[in-house]
Amino acid sequence: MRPAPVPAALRALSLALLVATTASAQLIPWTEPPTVVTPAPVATSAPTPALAAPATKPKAKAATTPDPTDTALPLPPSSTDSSIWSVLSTPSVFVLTSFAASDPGAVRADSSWVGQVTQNTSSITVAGTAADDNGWGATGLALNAATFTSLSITAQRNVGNETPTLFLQFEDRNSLTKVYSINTSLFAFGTLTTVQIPLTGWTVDFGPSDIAAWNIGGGSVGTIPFRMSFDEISFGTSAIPEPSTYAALLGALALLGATLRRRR
Amino acid sequence: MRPPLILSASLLLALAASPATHAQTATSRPVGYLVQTIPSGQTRSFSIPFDADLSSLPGTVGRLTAVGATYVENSAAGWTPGAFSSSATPYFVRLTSGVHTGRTFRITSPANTATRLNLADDGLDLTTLNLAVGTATGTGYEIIPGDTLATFFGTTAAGDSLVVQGAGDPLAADLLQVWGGAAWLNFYYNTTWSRWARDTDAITDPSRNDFLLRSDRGLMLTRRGTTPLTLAVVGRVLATPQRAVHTRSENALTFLATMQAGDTTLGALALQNSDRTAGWRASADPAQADILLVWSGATWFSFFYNNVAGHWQRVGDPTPDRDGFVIAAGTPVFVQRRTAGTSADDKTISFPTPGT
Repeated sequence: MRPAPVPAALRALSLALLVATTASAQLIPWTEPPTVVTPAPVATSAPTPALAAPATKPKAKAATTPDPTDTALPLPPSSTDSSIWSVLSTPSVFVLTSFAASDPGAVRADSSWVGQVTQNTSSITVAGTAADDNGWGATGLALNAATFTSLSITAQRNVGNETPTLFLQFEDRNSLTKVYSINTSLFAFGTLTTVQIPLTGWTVDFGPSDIAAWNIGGGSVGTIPFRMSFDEISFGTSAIPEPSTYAALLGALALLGATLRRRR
Repeated sequence: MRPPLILSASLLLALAASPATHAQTATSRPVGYLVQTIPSGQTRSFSIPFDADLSSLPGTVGRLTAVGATYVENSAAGWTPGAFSSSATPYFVRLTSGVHTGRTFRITSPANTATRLNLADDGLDLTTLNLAVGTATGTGYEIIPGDTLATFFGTTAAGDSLVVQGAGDPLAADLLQVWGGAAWLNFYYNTTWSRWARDTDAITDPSRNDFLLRSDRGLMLTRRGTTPLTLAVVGRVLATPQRAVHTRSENALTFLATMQAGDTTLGALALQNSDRTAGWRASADPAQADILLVWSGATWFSFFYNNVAGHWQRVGDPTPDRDGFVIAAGTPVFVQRRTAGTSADDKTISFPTPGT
């Protein structure tokens, strides 16, 4: 269906004008259900090579000495690591961003975050008049996330935040999107908290092996205040036990306890 | 390429009867006409509240004989392999009978066969819909042509025409925004590269000509040209209620085309009713209520259904009753659900059948 130029006479009659994982951080497994249940992911375009694991040193987060340049966050001294392609102590973790100034990532020009983000040594603080649209992101990437099973976000809420949910949008090379969300109440006020999400929701028409961009924020159109600080986003392969697994473990413990009591 | 034929400028609905047919029941669907104007320097929301004409390809109406997790089949369809699954000329399937009447799916890869269409539906396992199958009593469907950036807004290729203003600089071109689920995807026509592009693209990035414009979603368009942009579209008015899939994770927004060919109101949409939306969350406190957002031309108006007062209300607006707030024809709405859904039905919203 192609719109057509409208003759002046018809134009006059037109009706509808549309106005128209830091050492100190608290690890909280994500408790919400996955956003969607999907079949096994299928790449929609030629897969890019998996990320190499460069021999860069891990991002050190010793939690004891606050970073003097960080005014809003009780952050430890930053390492000299300047690569987002760093791999932490276990090769199964991939740091998407540590929010260092040298990391790919910037305020989105069309967002309410313009002029409202403070770049700290290895974190950002969103304040001022920033609203709940996704205001920070990176483009031009070639990231293969197909093998990762979890996503960790280290962040904190700050005073005045009214945004109830944090949204992370991934975009593949074909501009198809996949969105993950986390209730912001899982992030403590004024204290860095790491929240882990299972990556179970890659949809059939999204290419997780060919991620070209990501952005983060309140996932809305900018109507309520957003006040958070971000420290790190990373992918992982650590399995997050299902509730049924916890139930099975508890059951086994109960059985063991009963057996021991009977023997006594 | 489907250039329109402008038939009339009377009411948006109206005129001729298109020869749309169903497998068993001959039906007529009125043809509608809609003009949308975007003044210079301004941003408007819009959607196309019509179906394109039925394709001349064989088997565009029929009944489902089998359903898999990501596909549907009609053993008697005789579809041309690959004809409906090309990214350059996309198609949708709409269910026309059964409890899921009005639900629409994208036809996607792998390529369709003579009897099978592979569908995408935001991660849903199609078998959970319990669609009736069978040559005589199976769920009815119709296949509807869709659009891409290139097929709807055109290109500068020989024999084609670009409807919007392109430029080498994204800040000088008309800007088209598609909601990605949590942020906008910004597109423009790059006249240097002679193709559609993202505003963040480099020349090495792929062409965006074939980016799919979902018929069940809205768009935003910022006019950067010095004259108003007037878009006119003609199409078949829906004969069944539009049952739109929306995201049901906590507080997620979905930008939905209401498929209303004429002006409507919040009260008439009545999304708070259970026959329209499963579990619409109503409250006297907007922070607890599901939200509907409408672009005013300069800002987003947020509405919620106040179940204590029994009407729609605008957030922060002292005027209590907004049931009569007009949503112009073709205007899409953002829907924000506060809580996550669990079932397939939880993910859909039924908009009224146009003209009812």
